[in-house]
Amino acid sequence: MIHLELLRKNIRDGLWLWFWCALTLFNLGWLHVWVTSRLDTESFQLILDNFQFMERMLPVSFAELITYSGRISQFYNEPVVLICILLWCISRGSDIVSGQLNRGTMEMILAQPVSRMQVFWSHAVVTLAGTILLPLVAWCGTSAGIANATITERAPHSTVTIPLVDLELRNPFIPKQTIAVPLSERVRGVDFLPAASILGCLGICFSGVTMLLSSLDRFRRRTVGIATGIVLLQMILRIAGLAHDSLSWLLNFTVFAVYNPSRFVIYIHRDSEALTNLLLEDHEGVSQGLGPLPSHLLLILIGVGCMLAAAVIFRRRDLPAPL
Amino acid sequence: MINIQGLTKRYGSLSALDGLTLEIPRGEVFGLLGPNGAGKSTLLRILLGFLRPSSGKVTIADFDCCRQSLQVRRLVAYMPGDVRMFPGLRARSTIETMARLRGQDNLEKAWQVADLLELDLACRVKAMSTGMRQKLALVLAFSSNAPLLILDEPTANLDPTMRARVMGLVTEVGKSGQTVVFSSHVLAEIEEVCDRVGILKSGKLVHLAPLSELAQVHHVSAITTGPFPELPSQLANRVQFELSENQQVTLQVEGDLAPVMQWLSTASLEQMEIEPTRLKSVYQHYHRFEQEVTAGGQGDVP
Repeated sequence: MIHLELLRKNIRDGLWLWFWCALTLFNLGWLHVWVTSRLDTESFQLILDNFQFMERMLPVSFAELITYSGRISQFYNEPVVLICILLWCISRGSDIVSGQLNRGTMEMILAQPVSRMQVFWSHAVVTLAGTILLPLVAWCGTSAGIANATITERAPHSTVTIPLVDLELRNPFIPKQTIAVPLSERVRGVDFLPAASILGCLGICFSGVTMLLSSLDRFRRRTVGIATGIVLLQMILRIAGLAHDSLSWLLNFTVFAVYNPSRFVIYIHRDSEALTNLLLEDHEGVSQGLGPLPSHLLLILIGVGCMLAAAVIFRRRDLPAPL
Repeated sequence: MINIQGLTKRYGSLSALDGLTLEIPRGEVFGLLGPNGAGKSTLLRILLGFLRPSSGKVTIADFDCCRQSLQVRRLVAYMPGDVRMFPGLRARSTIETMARLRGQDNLEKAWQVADLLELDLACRVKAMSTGMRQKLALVLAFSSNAPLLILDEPTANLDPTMRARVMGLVTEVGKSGQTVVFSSHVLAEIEEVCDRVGILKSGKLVHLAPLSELAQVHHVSAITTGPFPELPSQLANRVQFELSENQQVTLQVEGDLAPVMQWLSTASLEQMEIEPTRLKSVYQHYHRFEQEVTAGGQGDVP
């Protein structure tokens, strides 16, 4: 199914794009944690209090968002992070058939004794590997940030103990003090793995959709245009669905409805059994959408399903001459 | 080597190939002629498994081109009409990459052909001219030891010196026993290297003949100044003649010219011209209508 020479060629072709995306994600992950560690929690809460009307648009409540877990997990909702992943998925996914047809290199490759499936899967494997590795790199950036950041917290009040009665009282003569605490004492890097993994699954989903579009087309720019349009439409559906209760039904038509990295981090951190729950429920028992495992599976299912369909279409289709 | 039976390829209502039947034996250099849109490239792309036939059957060495395309491509070296390569690679890396894809270890022949065609192996594909890319594709095709070579307009962008070298390579390959399918618009090239020629018109094979047969056909024209003698019955089956109102006589003679000359000596003729029939006149015979329409702009080509 996979041809080593084609695999090498595809790795070479995608290496620079992957490298720059990875570099961006790693550094941004680290930077995000560093900025989070600099921002005092109380100050952050004051800022959020001015934006109460936006709470419904967020995947978690403000109370959860102001925690270190909540704030760091927001990194996986950053537009730049999504752009890096989608840039990789769409550019490599679109190249698989229509890109090579458009360039005319498909003709040269398929004139050699390699099967269409070898051409397809040697490309798809590289795209998938890149899609899985990029969120891992982002997670490494987050973890490196956590391991190296320190936060400033108020020191516990100093106390005096009254002898005989053994009563401990706050010492009013010593002023309030702050101490530096390693961030790793408050959050663990491993807590953010569900966020990185759902990002990877979102990538797999859009890689598959783009490959399907590519297998049907002969012009790469058209494939990229349609795939980008689908991503934007899906984002708009999510925003509209969250914006007002009357439009919440729109969430049934967007894959971004199951992309909730912050929610997964916080809910799993709170209760590890939430990982396998079909539905997530908040404190009041209100459903918050699909649980982490079903969400992951749904995105993978869409992505892999589209990939298989793309492979079948490519195997059967006519390959037109390059224009 | 190649067996095509009732091959049809339709794009909606348009027939790119229409019931084509053709057999090309092992070791033959076969010329494929036809104007743009006649179906030459479609035929070649079906042979390579890029396109699926609407109906009919195509086999190469008994392997079905559609269902056993991989086995077929092990036997074929292909040079496309429009050469596109990996832009980031140098010529040398392209040759090595393609050889690895073919599972070919010995590149000695490739370097020899590259040397013959004066290809700069250090040049990146994206910096190459169309002619340079063509040379690179020729190196790839001729360096392979595949028993069948499919060349789609192999000299289209080459200078006369390189054309001559490529023709030499085709002749050499033909002599070595490899089968060659040679598609070109240059009739002289087909005449120079091919054993047999097929002319396509609107997806149909309208003419198929060995080129050696063409050499035995002569075209005679003259102006008669007196009464023209009757055509002897023993020549009737191999001479076609036409006498126009302005006393212009034209004859198409197959085979030995001597008895025909003897007959013509009985007529009083002026300005007599004798020339062997060239591929050009055969080609023009089939594509005259298109040429007239194109030149006169009188209507649509059917």
